Amino acid sequence: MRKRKLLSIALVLCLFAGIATTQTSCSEKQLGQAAEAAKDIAGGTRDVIKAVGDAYKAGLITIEQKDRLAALLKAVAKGGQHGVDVIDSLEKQGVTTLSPDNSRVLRAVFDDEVISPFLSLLTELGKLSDNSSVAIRAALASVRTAIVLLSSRIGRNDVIQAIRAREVWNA
Amino acid sequence: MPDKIQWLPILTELGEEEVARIIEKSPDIKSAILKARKDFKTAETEAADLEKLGHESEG
Repeated sequence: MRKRKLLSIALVLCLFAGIATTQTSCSEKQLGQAAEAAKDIAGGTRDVIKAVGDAYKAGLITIEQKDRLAALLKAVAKGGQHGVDVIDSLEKQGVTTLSPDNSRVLRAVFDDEVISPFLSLLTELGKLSDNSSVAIRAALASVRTAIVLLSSRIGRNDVIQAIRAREVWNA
Repeated sequence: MPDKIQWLPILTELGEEEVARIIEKSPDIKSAILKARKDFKTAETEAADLEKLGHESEG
């Protein structure tokens, strides 16, 4: 009897998996991609913070440079938190189609609170010599990848172009 | 029958509650949100500490 019950649960599992796959809407997929990107950006941001601290302690960057980078990283972290709150709220509401208002809110948080400080971060890094910034840039790679990947998936080539325009390397 | 369905013993070990949890929709989004929230919150604190670094001797 127990085996029959478990077998029926397993069959239901397979059925749900099939239904979930076919019914996954475009918006649910985008929410999932945004959540995954947020996770990667959050982890990468912590790595960059550590790299900046190490660079400062090693005397590779000045206190002023360190302060500017720290402020921008704090802004990315705060903006990212806000973005996660929005994604979480939509996911809990069971949103299957993003309304124009939802899309507008998500875009505003993405542009103003995550991308803007991130682009400023790239600008600041562009002012440093390669030698002093190499470890910071290496740590930033995962954040950049997550942002570029998400931007590509949601059709935001303007963000990708803006990132490329700020990637300056100095001798 | 038990010979053919080899994963049945695994389900038996999991228990009904665990199976119900697995059935829950979109576990990946939920775990990504949880991890992102935790890391962003920690990052904000770490960035604030980074701002203070080197300014400890100041009033």
